[in-house]
Amino acid sequence: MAQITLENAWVEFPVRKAGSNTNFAALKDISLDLKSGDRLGIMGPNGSGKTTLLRVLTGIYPPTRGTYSSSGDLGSMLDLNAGINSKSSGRDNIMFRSKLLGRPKKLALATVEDACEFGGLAEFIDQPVETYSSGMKMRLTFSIATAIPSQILVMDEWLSVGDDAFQAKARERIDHLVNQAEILVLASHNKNLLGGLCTSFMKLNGGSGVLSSTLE
Amino acid sequence: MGSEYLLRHWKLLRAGLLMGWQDFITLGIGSRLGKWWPTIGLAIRVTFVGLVLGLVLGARSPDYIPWLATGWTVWGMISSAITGTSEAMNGNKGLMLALPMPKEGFVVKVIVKELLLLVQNSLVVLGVLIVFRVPVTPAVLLLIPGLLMTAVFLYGLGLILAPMVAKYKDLGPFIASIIGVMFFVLPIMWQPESIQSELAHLILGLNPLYHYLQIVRLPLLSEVPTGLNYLLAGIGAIVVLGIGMLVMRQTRNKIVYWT
Repeated sequence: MAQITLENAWVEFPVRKAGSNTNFAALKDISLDLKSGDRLGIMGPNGSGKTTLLRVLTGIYPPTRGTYSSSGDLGSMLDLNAGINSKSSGRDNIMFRSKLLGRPKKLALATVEDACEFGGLAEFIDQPVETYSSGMKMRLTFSIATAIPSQILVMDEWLSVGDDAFQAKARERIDHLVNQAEILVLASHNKNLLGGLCTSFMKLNGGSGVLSSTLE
Repeated sequence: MGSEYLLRHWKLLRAGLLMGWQDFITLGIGSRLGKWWPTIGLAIRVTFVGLVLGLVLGARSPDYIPWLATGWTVWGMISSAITGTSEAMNGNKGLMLALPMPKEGFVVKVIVKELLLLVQNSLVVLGVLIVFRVPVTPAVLLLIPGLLMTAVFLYGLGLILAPMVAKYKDLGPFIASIIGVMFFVLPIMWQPESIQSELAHLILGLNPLYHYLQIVRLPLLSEVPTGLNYLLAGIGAIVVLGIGMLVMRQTRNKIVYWT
């Protein structure tokens, strides 16, 4: 059983300015209790704390006040480019990232295959990633991120990357992953997307959140 | 000390080994000699400094260049590991914000890479040993405990320095300066036999880095380090590891905010 619990969680960043020793609260007193079957949509203007909240939910930012706990395996799709070695080939990057994530070799090889066929990278898979266009890079990391369903899926506004043709293909696969996941957390500005996928919503504003069961 | 504790440590060791190996094999990728450059550079430094100092300082004993080569090779590993691990968390913000990962893994990664580079750089030592016909005895096996103790010490030191450098950004350049000076303070270019005063001996002996240098370098020369070298290196490794784990416990949840 997957679950994520946040109790009165705060995230406060130290403000680095000469002579001052203050904090900036990026999240204020957020409580959440997510269980299997929950689909949470997070919305709010830029700088309202969406990405910060996602990072708290994946355990990257431990709350500076309050508590966080989670169980269940986590598929985080936050910054997919982090840790990609641009001097290495696409193939080497997939093999390395898969190993780092503890995936079996068979799955890693299948991911390479997928990047070649689904991602259309067959010609470039042995070229250094620095020679890739940004769309190609996106398709490479997409293959890694979507290779295996996870119990908890945390996504930050990234469905809209890539050209129309790829987006249509990608959408189908994401739908599949979303259906497989026990818990989905998705941050987006796109109300239609959130409305279609999520059953509860958190509206963030200036770090404070209001939970509601409707979009309005 | 439950199974969760072991699992966490296995995970961070595994991540560190993988990342360190990856760093090593992608070293200098794209250039023809690529990852051999650290070794070529070392060979050039040892050759020229060995010859020049030999000439300038007059008659040098034939054991000078082997001493210089082993010292420089081992110090290269220790110094790069210290400066590298101290920046291990400060320099990995991007990855830290994208993947939930045990932070100690970044320290392990640096040490693994430097150890692999040490193996490669040992080719220079091998060349020198052959040219100067230094006999190889079973004492060379003492490399294993020497490297183990040094690796534990470097890991512990990294756990202390990396969070501190993440918090106090001025500490990084300071550590780099101290490590730079150590090259002259430690008997790398000079031999301890040339020390005249007791006080200087004492000062050298009080430098913990000296003992780690010796327990790795001397076995390369098929010489046996002293019991005192091992005693101090062993105590140092345990104490530093203990402090390092305490520092990590205190700072683990804060590091990501500091980087």
